[in-house]
Amino acid sequence: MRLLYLTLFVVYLQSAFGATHNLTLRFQPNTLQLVDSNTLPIVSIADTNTVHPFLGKFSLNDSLVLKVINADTLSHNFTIENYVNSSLISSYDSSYFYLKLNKEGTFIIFDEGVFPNNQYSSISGLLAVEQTNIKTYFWNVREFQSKWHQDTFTGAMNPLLYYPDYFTVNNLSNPNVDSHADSRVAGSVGDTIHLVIANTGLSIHSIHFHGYHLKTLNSSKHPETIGRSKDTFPLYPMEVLKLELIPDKPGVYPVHDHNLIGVTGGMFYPNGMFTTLRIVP
Amino acid sequence: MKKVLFFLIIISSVSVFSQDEKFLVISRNTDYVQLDDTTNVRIMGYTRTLSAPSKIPGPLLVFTEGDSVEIDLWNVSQGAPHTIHLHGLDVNQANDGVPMLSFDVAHMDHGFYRFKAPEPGTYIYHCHVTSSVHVQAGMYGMVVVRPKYPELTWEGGYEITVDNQIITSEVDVDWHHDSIIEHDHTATALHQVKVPVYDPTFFLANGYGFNSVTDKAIEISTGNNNLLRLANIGNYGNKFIFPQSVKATIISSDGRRLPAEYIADSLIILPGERFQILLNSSQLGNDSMAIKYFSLNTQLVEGVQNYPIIVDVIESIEDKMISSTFSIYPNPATSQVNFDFKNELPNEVEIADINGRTIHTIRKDSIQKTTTFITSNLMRGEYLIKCVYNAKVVTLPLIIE
Repeated sequence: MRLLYLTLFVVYLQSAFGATHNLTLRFQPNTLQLVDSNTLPIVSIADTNTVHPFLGKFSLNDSLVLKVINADTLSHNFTIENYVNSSLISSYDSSYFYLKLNKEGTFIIFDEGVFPNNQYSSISGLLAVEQTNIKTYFWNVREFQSKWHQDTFTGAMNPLLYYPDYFTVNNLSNPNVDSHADSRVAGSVGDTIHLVIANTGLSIHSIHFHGYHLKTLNSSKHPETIGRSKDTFPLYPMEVLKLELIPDKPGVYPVHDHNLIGVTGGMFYPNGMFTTLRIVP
Repeated sequence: MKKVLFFLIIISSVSVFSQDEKFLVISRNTDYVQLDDTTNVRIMGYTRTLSAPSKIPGPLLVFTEGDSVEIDLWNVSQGAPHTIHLHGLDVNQANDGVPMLSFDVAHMDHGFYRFKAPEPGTYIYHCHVTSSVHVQAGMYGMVVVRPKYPELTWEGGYEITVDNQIITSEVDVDWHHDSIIEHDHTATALHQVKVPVYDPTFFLANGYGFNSVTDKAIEISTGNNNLLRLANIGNYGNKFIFPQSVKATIISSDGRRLPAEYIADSLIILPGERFQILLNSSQLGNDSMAIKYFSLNTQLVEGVQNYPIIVDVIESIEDKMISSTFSIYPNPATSQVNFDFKNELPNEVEIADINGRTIHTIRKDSIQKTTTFITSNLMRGEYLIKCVYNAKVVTLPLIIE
């Protein structure tokens, strides 16, 4: 009986104060494979040696012991919006952060070094602090200008000459994003589905949904848009949107950037920011 | 009396609008439009008749909430397949206009889009085949879904006097070369197509550039609510700056009412978005609304237009609708009456008693621009003259003395 009380007490503590997690992230030089045969040198920020954007999902009031290792030859400024202010980590050095996850939402993890070089040259990640059982998809949206990835490391970037030629969702472009189970939204008629879209690039995007209107649940940059029901959503750089979809009919419906240059990749249509919703009866 | 007339129009309109609406739309690849500085560019576009050239933008499509709509799309392009995507109307997959997921229409073929017109609001239609190319080429237009009571913004909404529409876009002339317009295509339509760098030099509002827009004013009525529908189908952002003499209230977006309407001195609209704005002014005169076109990559403004706005005393939508359709004289009449039809002859004219019972019908083959009807057989009293067109019924009262 005493053991039962102890177990119940631990469960109570966890629900009230949350679990504690350990996580190690690494700034790592890496190579991004694009939708065509081209590759880009980038710096990943992830818990594994992957160029897939990092997504860490935790519950509200959890605690996070975070170790960040800089395995790059350049220093980086580790930042998590609303949680970690820009923190310089020298080359081949590391830092520890203790985070009490008491702010709900999805927050961008990025390198806030010399703008735009650092932010642009690294693959930003997401920290999701949620208290929900609703199925939630996360899209880390960004674009790339392939020529910049050589210039980035020589300091020759000029934002006024930015003309991206690759457009991605979770670092994938059409058709690859559509076969990525974590990216392609799937559900049934009447389901409540949440979709978090974060713009970790430098361009503004305009995300259009076929078939349905979605409701804005949250916007990190434009809270005045909360509650609006729309089919096309502005997505500004470093903005995180949370949308709610309750499908009223089955079908396969596209979602894409309605800056229609954004549905090209390597100057070819339709290799860009384009995926589909798959809704079954 | 005006309210009675309007009520009559509405009653008759509802009965017709709840039936099928049929539209013929033709897509072509062979037309040219002249831009501001006399630059001619080849376009892909839509038109409603074979004899009329396609333009930028395509024809305005107007439905009424709840209509059963059928659009018959013909492709006479001699090129790639085409479709109509009904942007924002939330139609089902079969009618969504996306190749592979819906259907496309090959050269000299046709296909039907069938759907119910959704909530009143402002929408867009455009081709979704190689959409980056076909939309830039000119295959787009605005869709207006009117409420059953067309003088309102929506049921129980604002009463409006005039209804203006502006759809914005850009043109990069390099995208209009023959090699792009005649791009490779396959039966699947998901053929990869190489595109040029996008660097537009013409910024268009309703197809008019910086110079040609100067004499294309929108007119609004002083002292009344004026609806302005704005849609962006380009690849740049638009910032609309409303004139100080006009109060602009943002009331809806993407075909849905905003949860919180607000007064604004400017409004940013990104590609694919639509907004409805109420304009109010108490000052007669001329003014203009600036439209700034900015790159979504650099956020630099690359084009500015000043769209003229004339604030005037304007007759209401219902008055315009009637006066632009037909008139009756003399009224009251004794032995005969004349019906004068303005632009279009009706399919038939019904003379009904005050309870709406038809007592005589004039068939189409007997209708001329000015049609005389002998009234000596009619008893003294009030009658209704119902002119039945394809998409509407307009009713005016006639008094026999």
